[in-house]
Amino acid sequence: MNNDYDVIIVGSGITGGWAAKEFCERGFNTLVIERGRNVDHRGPEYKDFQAPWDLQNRGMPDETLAENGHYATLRKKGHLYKTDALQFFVDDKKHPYSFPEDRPFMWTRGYQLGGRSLTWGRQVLRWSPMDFQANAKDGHGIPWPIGYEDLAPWYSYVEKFIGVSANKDGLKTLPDGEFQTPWEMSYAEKYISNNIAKKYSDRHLIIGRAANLTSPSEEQIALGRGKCLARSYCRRGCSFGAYFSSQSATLPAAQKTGNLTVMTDSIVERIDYDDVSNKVSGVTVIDANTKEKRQYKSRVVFMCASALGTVQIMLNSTSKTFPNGIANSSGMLGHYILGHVTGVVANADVPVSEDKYAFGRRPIATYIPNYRHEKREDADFERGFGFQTTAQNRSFSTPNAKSKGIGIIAKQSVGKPGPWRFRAFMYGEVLPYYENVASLHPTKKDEWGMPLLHIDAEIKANERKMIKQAAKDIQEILEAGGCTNIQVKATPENKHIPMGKQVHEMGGACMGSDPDSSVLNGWGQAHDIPNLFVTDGACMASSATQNPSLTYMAITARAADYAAKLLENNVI
Amino acid sequence: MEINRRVFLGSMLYVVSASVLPSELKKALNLTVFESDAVFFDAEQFTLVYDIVDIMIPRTDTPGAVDSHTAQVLDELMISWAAPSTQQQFTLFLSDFLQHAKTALNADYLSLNRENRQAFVKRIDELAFDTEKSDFSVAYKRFKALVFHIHYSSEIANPNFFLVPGGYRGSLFQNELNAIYERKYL
Repeated sequence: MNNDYDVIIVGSGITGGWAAKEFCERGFNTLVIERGRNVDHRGPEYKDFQAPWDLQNRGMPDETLAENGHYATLRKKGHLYKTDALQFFVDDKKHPYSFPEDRPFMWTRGYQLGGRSLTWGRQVLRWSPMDFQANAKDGHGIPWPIGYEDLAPWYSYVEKFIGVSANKDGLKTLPDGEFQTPWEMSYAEKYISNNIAKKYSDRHLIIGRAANLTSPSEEQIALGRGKCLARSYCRRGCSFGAYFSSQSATLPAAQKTGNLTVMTDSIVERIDYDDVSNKVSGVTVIDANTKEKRQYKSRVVFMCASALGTVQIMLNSTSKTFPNGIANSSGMLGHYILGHVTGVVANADVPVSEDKYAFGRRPIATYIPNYRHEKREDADFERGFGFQTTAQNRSFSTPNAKSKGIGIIAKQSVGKPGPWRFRAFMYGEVLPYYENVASLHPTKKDEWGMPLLHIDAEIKANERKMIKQAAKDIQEILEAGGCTNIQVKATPENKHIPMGKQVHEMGGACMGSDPDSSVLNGWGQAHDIPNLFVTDGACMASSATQNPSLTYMAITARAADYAAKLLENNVI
Repeated sequence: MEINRRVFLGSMLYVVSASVLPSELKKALNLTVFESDAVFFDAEQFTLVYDIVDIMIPRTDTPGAVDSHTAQVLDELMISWAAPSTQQQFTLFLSDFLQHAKTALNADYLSLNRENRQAFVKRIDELAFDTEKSDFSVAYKRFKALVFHIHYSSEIANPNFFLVPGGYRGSLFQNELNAIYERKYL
């Protein structure tokens, strides 16, 4: 195998796939390195054609897994711990990480080709100008070196390729983009949305923006992608290619060019650095199966191994020049671990007048975008929150095995139509805290000899205050929405809320204008090393409240374009 | 191990073996007796499991646990899904169940007629959720939860499930929904 490439991309997930597509289409000989196994698109690991009764053990993972301590993080998440897609999540017993005992961190990973692009939530939301300005405005974290205007054309570029089904809502807190036909709101969701619109000018219930195709473009059809048929089994892999993943879209596009090499089962141990040229020369990998080490050379390295994965590799890449991790002259590598917080869950009945129903499994929720950017008069906290919400199907009485009742009477009560129920989950922005940090464990290593990542991050008083306000707000919003039987549950102050629970971990190698206080510049390029780029979640300087993947993709496409120009001009 | 058509075929064999039993006894007790061991449970245990799940979710105008082969699937799951602790818990639960019946009714559960068996299972259910915190009640609740999960995730209990709906509609009248169900696609 040829070990010299123009570009090495570490990771094949949502950003790695994008980097691969962009460089391959520009004619660069590109190597994508994935630590996990190969997963073929439409291959045997996809379980999207299994009905509930076809799933292994009716969806229940083998009990001995739990008894033997496997999948500890995933088990805490509950809804993901099922046999429909267990193969796409990491068992943290095999791939351990570390955290302080009193501050557990939930790190949900996917070690396979495509990474978490196979299982992601597909809610693709642009950030607003205010989100990029927040750090500079309130002084928390490192000010973003880029603004919305820098990314806007790249948001459009990405949206056109991935396919985003959404409505143009005209909100300045959630800019519109290049959209396909939106998913329909349910009768109950429209009822609430209309009622909210009568009372508020700043709060809106909108249909989510989904990376699921509703009107495939010619380019998407040419890649073998079809229209979403509302199965909502996305995390099992989609044989129709209806939702965006590396397998369905970016990797096939890269493959078409003939410039792509994909190497799976290869764990990047370190980024190799040449002290003389002050450039990275490539990477050293450990074969996941044989544990043999190999080196690969390239002119540029793109780190797309997921936020914490990238930080782990960079911290492990020490040299004479960078004894504390590569490109870490600022000492900021590992700091400002970010995320989202959910501390409020609300449920309510929707007393609509007509006897209506829904059909199909819509693959996206509804959404109440952050309205707290400018609504500060009753806020004793910084930043804000939005709500992921849904009432997509009418409730039906379900068999209740957890209360008494058997026989004919208990059975007769099952399957009767009930009220529409609306649910809302707060998604709050966790402020950038320098002391939320990921580091290498001083003594513990995994079976490949890599030091474990130790993640010490927590929410603080600001987020607790945010939760209190979100509980008040959602009560008020649901009342305005015409809901009844409103039940709002806020996590008590004395109950630990683990960072990472919402999966959107970010930061650790954040962008900034000042090389003394940030790892990367506005292109995702290391301040210290011109041919090293980081464009996954690690580069984020704040988390905003929106789901972050669209922004990662836009940042990656923009950075790849920039790096390609540098390569073309032999600058790097 | 996947629960599939093999389980269904297995259940047919059980019914065949039960059919050779004296018909008078079967008729009197309204009980399906299995003479052969199942995959995990022995013949007597399986007879008991089959009877309890039938009482829990009887056939009415909609299919019951017998129709969804809940007992057979549960038997398979004891091998493919259950940890040794659960296997032990359920085995103990079944023997305790018989013992409880003997103590409470001074009779063998499997010799009771259907009405008395129903009444006994109903009593166990009420006690488990009303008052008792015993290991037996804990085991009963787990057993019940598994039975309900198996039946209500079965094909026969979900006649309006569509693997490929074809799309989503959020505001349909009942007749519009029924029309979709009838043509099996949006």
